Amino acid sequence: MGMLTILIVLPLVGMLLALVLPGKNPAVIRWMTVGVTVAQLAVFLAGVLPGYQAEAGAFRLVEQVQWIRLDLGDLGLLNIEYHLGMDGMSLVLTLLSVIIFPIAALSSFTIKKRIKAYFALFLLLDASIIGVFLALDFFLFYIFYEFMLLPMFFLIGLWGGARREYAALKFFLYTLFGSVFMLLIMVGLAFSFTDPVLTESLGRPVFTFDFLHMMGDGAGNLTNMVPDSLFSVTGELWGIGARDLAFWVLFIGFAIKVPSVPVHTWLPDAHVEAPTPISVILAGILLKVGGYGIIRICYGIFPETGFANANIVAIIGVVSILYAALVAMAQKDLKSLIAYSSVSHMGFVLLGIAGLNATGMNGAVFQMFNHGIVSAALFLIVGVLYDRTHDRQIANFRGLWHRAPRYTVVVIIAFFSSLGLPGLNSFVSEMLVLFGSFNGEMVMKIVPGLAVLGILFGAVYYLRTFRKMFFGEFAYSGKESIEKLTDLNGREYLMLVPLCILIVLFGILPGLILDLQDSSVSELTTQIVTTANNLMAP
Amino acid sequence: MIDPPDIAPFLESLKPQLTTYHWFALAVPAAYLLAFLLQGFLGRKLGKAGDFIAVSMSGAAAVFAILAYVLFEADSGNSAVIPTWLTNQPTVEWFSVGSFHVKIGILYNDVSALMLALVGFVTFLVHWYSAEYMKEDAKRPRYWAFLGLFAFSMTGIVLANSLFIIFIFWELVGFSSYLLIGFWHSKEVSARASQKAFLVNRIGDVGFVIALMVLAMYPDSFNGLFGEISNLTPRRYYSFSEGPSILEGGFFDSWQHYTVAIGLITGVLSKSAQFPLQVWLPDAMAGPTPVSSLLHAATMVAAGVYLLVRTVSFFPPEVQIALAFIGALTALLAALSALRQTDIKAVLAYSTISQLGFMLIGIGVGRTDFAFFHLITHAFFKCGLFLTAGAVIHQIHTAQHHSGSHFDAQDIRLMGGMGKKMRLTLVVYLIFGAALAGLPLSAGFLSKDGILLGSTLLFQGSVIYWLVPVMGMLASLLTAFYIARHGWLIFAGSSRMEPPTFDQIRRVNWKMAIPLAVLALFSLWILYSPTHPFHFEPHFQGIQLPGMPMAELPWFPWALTGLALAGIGGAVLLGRNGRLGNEPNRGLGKLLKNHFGLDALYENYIAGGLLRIASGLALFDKKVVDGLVNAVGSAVVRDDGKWNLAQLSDQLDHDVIDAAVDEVAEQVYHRPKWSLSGISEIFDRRVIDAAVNALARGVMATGQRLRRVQAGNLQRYLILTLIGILALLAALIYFGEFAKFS
Repeated sequence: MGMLTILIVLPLVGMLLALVLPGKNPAVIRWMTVGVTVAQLAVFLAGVLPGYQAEAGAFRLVEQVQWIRLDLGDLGLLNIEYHLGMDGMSLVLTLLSVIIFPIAALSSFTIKKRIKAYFALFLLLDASIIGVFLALDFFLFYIFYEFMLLPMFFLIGLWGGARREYAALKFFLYTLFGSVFMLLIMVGLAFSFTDPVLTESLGRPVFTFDFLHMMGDGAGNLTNMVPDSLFSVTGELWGIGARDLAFWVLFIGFAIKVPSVPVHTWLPDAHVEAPTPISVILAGILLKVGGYGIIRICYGIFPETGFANANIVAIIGVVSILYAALVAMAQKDLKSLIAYSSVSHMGFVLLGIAGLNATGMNGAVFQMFNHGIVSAALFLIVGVLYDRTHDRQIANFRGLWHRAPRYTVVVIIAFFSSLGLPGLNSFVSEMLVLFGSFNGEMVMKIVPGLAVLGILFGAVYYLRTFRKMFFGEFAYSGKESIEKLTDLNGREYLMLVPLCILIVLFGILPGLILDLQDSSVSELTTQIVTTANNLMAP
Repeated sequence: MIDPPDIAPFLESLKPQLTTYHWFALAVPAAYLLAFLLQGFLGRKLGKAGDFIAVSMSGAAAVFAILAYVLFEADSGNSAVIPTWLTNQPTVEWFSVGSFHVKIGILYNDVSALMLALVGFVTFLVHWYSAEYMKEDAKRPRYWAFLGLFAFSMTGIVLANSLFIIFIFWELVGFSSYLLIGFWHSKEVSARASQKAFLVNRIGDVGFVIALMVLAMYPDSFNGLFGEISNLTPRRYYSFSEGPSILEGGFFDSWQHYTVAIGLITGVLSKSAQFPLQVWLPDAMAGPTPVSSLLHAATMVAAGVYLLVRTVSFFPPEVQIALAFIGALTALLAALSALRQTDIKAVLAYSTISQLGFMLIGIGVGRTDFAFFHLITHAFFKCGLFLTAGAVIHQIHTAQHHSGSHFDAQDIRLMGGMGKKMRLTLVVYLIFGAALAGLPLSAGFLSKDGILLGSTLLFQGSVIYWLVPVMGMLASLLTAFYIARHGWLIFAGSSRMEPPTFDQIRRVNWKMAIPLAVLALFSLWILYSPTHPFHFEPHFQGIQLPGMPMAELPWFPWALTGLALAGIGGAVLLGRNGRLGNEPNRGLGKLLKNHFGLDALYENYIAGGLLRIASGLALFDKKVVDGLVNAVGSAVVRDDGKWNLAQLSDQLDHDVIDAAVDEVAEQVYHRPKWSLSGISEIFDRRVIDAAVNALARGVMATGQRLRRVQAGNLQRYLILTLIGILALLAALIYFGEFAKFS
């Protein structure tokens, strides 16, 4: 079994264990989950990372097994493979996932009801998210993608807050919309591309779901495209270029995940209703699937549409940055403020992608990583207050600095990282995004120019919140007893201190992550741009 | 594992370049960083020793800075046509993506050497003073930590050799200043002041970042600062980068050139508190007084001017001259406001804004050398004034404590007669005040003379510029007046306090007196121009100026002296008649006191407007955007709030997917060479059906088994999971229908 498969199977084994282990003693299941996620982190650090660095090439640690091969008679064959592989982007996002999951598992200790089901779904979610980042076969990707949505739906719908059913349904409907169309396009794509090696060896056309065959080769040519197929360059649907249509439909589907304005409204609801650990996973990892999909699938497979419309993508990014930041300013609930700030900061991912150069794309991927770390810390911070008081209203808290100085230090690190203070991690990625998009061939200069206002707005809502909650004399005007507001406990230290250390570490040494992703992300960008130019050439 | 950054080659790459003075210079921020970490992590455990450690570490940093300066000055390589400092800038790569490299390097020339020594020295004096001033405060470790972080960031700005790295420390200075202004976090006024300082500085950052974005369009533009060596060839710009750079390819006088210059200036206006971004500085006095003296007088606000000193020769000339107008306007407005302040620190805060305006005039009219010289002299005398004010406040507080009285210890209208109790404080105050007013034999006279002379010469060159020297002279006159008023109300006459409190006022002890005395020495002419107390020509190799002739105007020193004496005389005259301090707070006076309502403008229109837009958008988001979503949602969800996935998927199938599928199928079907018809049957049976059946069987079987294991408990979850998976499979089946269709 390859390293990547181990990463996916480990939580699945944990899921089975969670279902089999007796539910009488919740501690066993909790610590088993923590153990499994820590083991996953260990496998990543001790196995996957050295393995990745020992190899060369765009995709490494590749595992390719024939899965389903279907005889279509005269047409040829349809080939579905269990194909995993890792490039710099998936490496960084997988690293993010294996960092966040142990912390989310620790945070799940506050879950009291239906422990077995909760942790089983939690681990299923873990396996499917890792699978999404590693799958190189569209069919496999789609299966992981769907299996990621289901546990999320139940984790919000069953363990959430008062309006959990509404939030879960909203989440589900939004996402379903994206995945239904993805399914249609996936099948269309499969019949538009053939596997060159198998076609050669079997002497019949072998249609493929493999991402790698759908992307341009080193010289930027789509050599595997079936001429005059649906998603070939000339393909049309309703008089529109089929590839353009596919790009936008997929883009909307992934933009829902990112989420971008105006398809973001599921996120504040989902966050406000979700229990803390699920918010951590949602903001920390799940949103990155959107950015990953846009780069890997939208831009990877339909580079020419993406290239021609980069300015629109950038505008969507900037609108998200500014609109969500302004809406965040008006929030009264700390968690929904942070949810909107997530929308705002994920807008930088779209902006960076739109730059279509090494700087912007690296910035976008690094921004996903940094936002994952910071937003996990931010949602845990909300959880700390909520666990004690069942209250998240900003106006109810006052002078927390005095009462909980250690908590305050953590909040300062997380808030200031999120608002882009140099020395903390988000700064470098936001700068790279701004530099990259400003230099972007297809992006109007004013668009990233306006995005800079985001750093001002971000400071406004974070500093106002910090002033209201942490400055002044200590006071609490909610329903719970004021005595319950204590400083961090041991478990919370265990969750927050590592995140704070990472925030500072990657702020001072961004090269630790950038060096892992740079060559492969830069290569991918070059490939996207050359393929786009080739396809658009008359 | 992630490879730990390999330190050995890093150090190896630095070695051949780092000379001894570089090592000493680097030791300065290193010492501050160490102090920050030590106080931050172990501060509480250190106890009393913590104060000693803090003061001695900043002392060590000051010694390093001064040693580095001395060694640099002694290096003969630095007087060559192309000096060593220009070619030898120790640089190491920080990170890179694609072809974009960011390097960290130090530029150590006589400007940065002098600035570093200044910052180190003043920081040490303030540390020393703070140990006494703050000795009652239990939160001292945090105070030392914040001060350490601030000094680290400030020295970073001084040493960095690229705008990107400068911006990083620039931001950190803003952050540490936020922490220090808000140091007394329980006080509402600190909370608001710190927030305001940070946010106004962020407005400037927007400009700075835009400048960086433009610069990033050019490869290697973050490898070094830009400048001009006028003694090589006129207006020949240089860059410290290797390889292709900004200097090739028509950058100059393009829109990029102007954007960079204007962006940087926006940053400078916020950091150095110039019109219209000066509003944060008076509020920033909410922090402890030693903090005000260090950050908001001597160093942090000087960072903007320092940045200009380093980069101004790179600016388009018309942008540069605009600086002179902004500076003159700010100097005048702030001096007017200082006339009516009643808080002992507020007068000094407006005075700082005004003096920074003078520095901007100097830069704008091409007298960068005098602007920088004024930065240095101002750092000493303004730091001294603040520490003197701190001493007064501190002694009044102590007296209040002993006599049990309570009144605003910072209101100069309640003081008077302090000179009788605090003789030494009065003497040093007079020296500092003379330097601020610009009386001969003071350091301030030497530096202000050069700036105003420069602006007057510019005025002679072209009449449109006459406003600059006129506003500057007027501000100079007002400066003498407000500082004399300030001093008169504090020290002269008889006390306006209740006698029991006044009797308790003691002179400052030696610990607080020493820094005051040292600063007073540095506020005299003697260290700068011992033989020529009325005129001084500063010479800095690092600052090279476009050839502006510096004629002597024999009447000029006399005119300046006359202005200063007139201002002081006026104040003393009014003071003797008891007409100072009781100015009515209405009409023009009120306008002056509130700094022309600029604060209210920001508060009500800019901040208020932004928040109103935010509330409006939040409502829009909730009602319109989300409302639309809910409307769509309720079309597929039952009204009673309960929902039913089976029904839902059914509807979805009919209304959305079927319709779409029909359409797609129709399109596909009519394609000549490519048709789904052949594959549909097989695909449907073999893949979809088989997969569905297998999955469904698997899920069912697992469900049964699990249900036996955990009867009842998991029931709901499993059913829901099943329904969910089935809904998905339904989509797959429909896809099969789609295939059959053709």
